[in-house]
Amino acid sequence: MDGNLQKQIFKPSACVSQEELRQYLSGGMNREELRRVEDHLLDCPLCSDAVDGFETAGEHATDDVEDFESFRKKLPLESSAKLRRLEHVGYWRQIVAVAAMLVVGAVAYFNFFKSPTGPQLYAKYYETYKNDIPVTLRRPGLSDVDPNFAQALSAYTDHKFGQANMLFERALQMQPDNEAAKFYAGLSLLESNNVKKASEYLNTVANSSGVYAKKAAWYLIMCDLKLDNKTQAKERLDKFLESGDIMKVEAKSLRDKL
Amino acid sequence: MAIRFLNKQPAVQQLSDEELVSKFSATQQQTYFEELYRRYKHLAYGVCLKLMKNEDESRDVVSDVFKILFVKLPTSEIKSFKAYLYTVSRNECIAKLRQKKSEMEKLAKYNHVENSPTDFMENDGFAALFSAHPTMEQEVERAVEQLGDEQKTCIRLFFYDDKSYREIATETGFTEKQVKSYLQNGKRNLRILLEKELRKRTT
Repeated sequence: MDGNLQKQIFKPSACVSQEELRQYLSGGMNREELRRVEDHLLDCPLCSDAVDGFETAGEHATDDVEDFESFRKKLPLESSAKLRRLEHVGYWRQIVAVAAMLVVGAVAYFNFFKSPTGPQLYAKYYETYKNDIPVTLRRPGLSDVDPNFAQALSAYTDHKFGQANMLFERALQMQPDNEAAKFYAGLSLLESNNVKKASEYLNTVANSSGVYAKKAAWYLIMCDLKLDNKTQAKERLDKFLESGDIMKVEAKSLRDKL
Repeated sequence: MAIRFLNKQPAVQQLSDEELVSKFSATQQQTYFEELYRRYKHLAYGVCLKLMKNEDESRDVVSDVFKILFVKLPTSEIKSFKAYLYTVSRNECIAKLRQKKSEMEKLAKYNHVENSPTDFMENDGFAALFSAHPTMEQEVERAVEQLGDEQKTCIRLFFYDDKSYREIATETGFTEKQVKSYLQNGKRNLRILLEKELRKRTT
């Protein structure tokens, strides 16, 4: 029996792509590919039902869905389709529906002229920070880096932020002064919407004089935006612009928006 | 240590489903929705084919499903895009079948579908739990032993011996569909048993 059976049984996997589906149905997969797909089908009712559907209809059907360009042309018809549906319901319902649409329209109109909210600015300015620590420096045995930290970085790179959070915590228990671990823990927590805890880590790093201080200061501003605390974001941003020379264009642009 | 600072935004293809939903909701840019459409249109179509048993109608339903998603994504709180897509697809198929009086018999057949839960196994979280408890091989073994005979046989052949559905079917005399079903249910039961074990360990 494989020593890693527990991991093997419950390992997460991606949905079946169109090409994989085509190959699976035509029996053209090698053993490894077949195994991945069959394993995934056990967990995913979407893929499992889709395979059942195609097995009934035949392999040719996989190519039958229109591409996005054709689909997009149908989108403007959505509102008229809704109106057509209204013809079948009572007259008073039409009035209510039209009134509701007017209210929604008015709200949308006023929202358009309002200044953007913190979360809207966050969505515009936030970019996931890419793991920039070379693998060679975090391979256990080649450096003094804690293996938990190496695994945490790997999970972070794979966007498995829940797992990364747990591993960064462990790494910090082993190496409480590991500035990089605090920085990445902050980023990972921010990605998992644990903004308060993310702020704590990033604040510690931002107040240090280490290599991650300036970057942490930027992401601390992102935390404020996510919490819709625009006043604090503005204060931090002023200091950020005064004291450094990175992210100048983005910082100025964000300052204008705030 | 070589440091590259604030790299460019990852390509749309590299974003997770949930990131795409979040960015589409925030910006309304079709690029994000287009990527979701590209990733899942064939799967939505397959689900519709299973229920509608008609290719033309299934194509129409897929269009309707993505139109609904296009409108609803920005205003809905979605934890798992594929679970949401699955639910909307099934509901749209059932609504379509309801509209067709002549299809009432077909509908009765699928009443159970409407009421059944969307049972996606979220292995991400479970894998993380496991990584905190790396020595559970014996518990896994014990849990497998507790499964019913058919499920145990299929789980062993699939996960221990790396057999495919077809090979298991040949070996056991089950149909391929039965094999898949035993594996799905067996895996679900394993998960329940192991979650209980993990809970015991943490309390």
